[in-house]
Amino acid sequence: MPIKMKSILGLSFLLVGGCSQLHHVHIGDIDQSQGSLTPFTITVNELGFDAAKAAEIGAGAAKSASTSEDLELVAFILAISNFGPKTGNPVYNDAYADEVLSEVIKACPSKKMTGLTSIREATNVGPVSGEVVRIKGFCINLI
Amino acid sequence: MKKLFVLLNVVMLSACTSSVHMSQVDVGNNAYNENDIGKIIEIEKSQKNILGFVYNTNYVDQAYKNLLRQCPNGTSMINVEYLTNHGFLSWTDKIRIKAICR
Repeated sequence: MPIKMKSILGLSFLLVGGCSQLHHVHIGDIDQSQGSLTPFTITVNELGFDAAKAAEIGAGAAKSASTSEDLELVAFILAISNFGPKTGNPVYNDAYADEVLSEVIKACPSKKMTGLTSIREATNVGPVSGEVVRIKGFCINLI
Repeated sequence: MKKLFVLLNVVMLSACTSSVHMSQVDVGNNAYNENDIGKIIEIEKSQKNILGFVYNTNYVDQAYKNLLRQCPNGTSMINVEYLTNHGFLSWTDKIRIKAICR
């Protein structure tokens, strides 16, 4: 019974603990002089996973001391194998944001746009996250 | 057998993770933007870091000079992406520029 309660509590914390985090934002010039504006949003995202953190959590939750030690070793190997600065959790595809420029161009039939806002954010649930690049802006409807 | 399986998983999970720090799109003055969108040029420059020791510290300047050379009349739209590829006790910083020349 106590184990069941612990599992429910743990799951609840994971679900409730999912939160958004803003890493970077950039706002460009806004020009309202050339016509009416129509807003658009482009969003690309990728699954982020911190394997070292997951192994550390596993080590903490392991029942036997030997399993815990093994998982700590795994966490250490993962940490030194994925060395370097990180914004959010690491992803396994570095090209997920490569198409934002062509998507922005496609979004405006007039090919004229203004007020571009670039946002880098993440939604975190423990060692798993959604790593997001969002571009918001306005298409200029030529008069 | 179990340890081998764990080791294999560790090797697979440690394969080339990355982190995108910033991706920003900017547009030039619309008065200069013609409706025909030309070819998108792509520039990528990188910097290798081994345990904090850095080679090629002017990689962003190189990317910028390359952009000026490829777009002598300026750009009408630009996307700058800054990311890191992680490795074993080392990492590679990259700057990726995509632009439409005027």
